[in-house]
Amino acid sequence: MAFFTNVDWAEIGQASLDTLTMLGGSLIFTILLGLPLGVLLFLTARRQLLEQPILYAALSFVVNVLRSVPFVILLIVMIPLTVLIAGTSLGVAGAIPPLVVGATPFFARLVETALREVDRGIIEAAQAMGADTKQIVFGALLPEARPGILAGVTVTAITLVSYAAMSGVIGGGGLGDLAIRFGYQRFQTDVMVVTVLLLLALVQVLQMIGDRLVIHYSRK
Amino acid sequence: MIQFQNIQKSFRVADRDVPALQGIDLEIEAGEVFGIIGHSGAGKSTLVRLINLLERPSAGQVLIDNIDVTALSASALRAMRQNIGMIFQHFNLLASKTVTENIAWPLKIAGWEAAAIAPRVREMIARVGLQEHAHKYPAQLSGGQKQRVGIARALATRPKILLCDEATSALDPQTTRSVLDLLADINRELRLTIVLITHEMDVVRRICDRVAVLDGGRVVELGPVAEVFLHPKHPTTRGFVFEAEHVDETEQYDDFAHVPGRLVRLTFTGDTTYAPLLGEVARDTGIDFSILAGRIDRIKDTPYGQLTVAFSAGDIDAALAQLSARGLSVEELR
Ligand SMILES: Nc1ncnc2c1ncn2[C@@H]1O[C@H](COP(=O)(O)OP(=O)(O)OP(=O)(O)O)[C@@H](O)[C@H]1O
Ligand SMILES: [Mg+2]
Repeated sequence: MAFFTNVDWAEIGQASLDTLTMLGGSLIFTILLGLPLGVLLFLTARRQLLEQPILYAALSFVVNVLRSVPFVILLIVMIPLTVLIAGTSLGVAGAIPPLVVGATPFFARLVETALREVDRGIIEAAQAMGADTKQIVFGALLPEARPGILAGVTVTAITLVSYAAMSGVIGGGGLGDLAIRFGYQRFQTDVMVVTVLLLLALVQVLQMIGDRLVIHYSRK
Repeated sequence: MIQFQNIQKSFRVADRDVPALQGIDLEIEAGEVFGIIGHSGAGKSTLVRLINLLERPSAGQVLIDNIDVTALSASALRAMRQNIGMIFQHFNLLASKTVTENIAWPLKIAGWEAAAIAPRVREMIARVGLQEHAHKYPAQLSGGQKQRVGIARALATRPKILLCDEATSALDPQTTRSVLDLLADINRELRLTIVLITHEMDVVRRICDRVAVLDGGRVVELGPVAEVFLHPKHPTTRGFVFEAEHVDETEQYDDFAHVPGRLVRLTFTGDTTYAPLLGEVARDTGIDFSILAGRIDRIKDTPYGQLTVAFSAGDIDAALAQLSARGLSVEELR
């Protein structure tokens, strides 16, 4: 095992745990914020149930702005806000706010797209039954779009893994932080390899779980 | 009773108003099966969607039991819609829900107690004969089974009106027949008003009491099915009837061109269909006749026959008068 001389397994373990915490924490908030935002985007768009052209244009613009800012820049720009929310801009806690802000608009768009895939005939049938908008959203749109939304959650989770690794740049902690501090800055290639392999395994597992859930809920 | 009063409906397409319905005045009686037939784009769906206000009229009024639905508030409109069932060509079932859950959905929307929903859903599933499929998802059902779920779902809240937009167009002839029979049974049992869109005369003939023929956004012919079917007047109606009968009107007359004598079309309905009238009259008046074309069939519950006959020799006028007197409709073709 001469090759892995630089690897401190305890530290790897801690970093893995940090990465999972960052992923879990940011994913929960991303879903909590992105799902309603995606539903709102869908409902206010042209020819939809709550058509609101001005509101839609405004929401859409904000989403596009956030999505066009490179994540590294967002990380740095957000530092004051992050300190306000999390009390620190460092470590696991400091990484979560920028991750959520970076991923929410992305996820909201995926939700919007998934909702648009729902057959209009189903909305029409619901209206013909006398459903109000809330009943249509919870009774028809979200259940019917569930496979699409789960696929969106999977893609978002994987994006969050790579964003979380990037937050290592500003001292975010986790596997990315380890890779940058040891693997890159101190040329410890073995640390780099181990962290990348772990990240790869994480992505694989996430994709596998996601695919399973999508198939389970597709009912086709 | 559903009344359309001077309805106009146009759609705004690329800054132009495209008329879809132009001056519709129509009354649909409670308890009848009312057919609406017309070619694609005639405005059938638009007309039916005015009843539950999925489309709003550009002008005119829609009255249901003398209530102007266009004047209802949003919540009153939702309450009214809970009393109008609708079924669709492509079924529009929730793919993510089982048969049971699909049928329970309108009841939830209407605010039924959970304890009341379960037995009602079981009752509806039994009524449409899907007991073995209660826990399947729509993707696991055939088209005919899906439409039965659609019917059960549409009737779960005990509506007085059922709207059917091309409800059998995606089904094969045999399945179409079984779905139509189910609708006819339900119409009789519940005195349900059924408004049924189709572009097939056979569907109209099988279950409708009255029919309106729509063309270019107007009602061009309206009446009891037997009347419209046996004596179609408007070219569009004639087209549908002859298509259903697999006859080519002009071709047929060409074939008869060389037949001597007077060409007459006789229409029998009801009991006269099976009476030996033609033979009796021939003996009485000494005419000769040859039958050139003919059919005997049913319109809903009424048997009818229609014969194209060439009369020669004897007292033809007396024969025609006798036939008329005995309840046949006599049309001289040549
Ligand atoms: N939402 C809409 N926007 C614009 N035009 C429409 C809309 N709905 C219907 N139309 C137009 O109105 C006319 C009547 O349409 P409608 O759907 O009522 O016809 P239909 O008789 O039901 O035809 P089909 O047999 O094809 O279903 C058509 O010219 C159609 O293009
Ligand atoms: Mg139509």
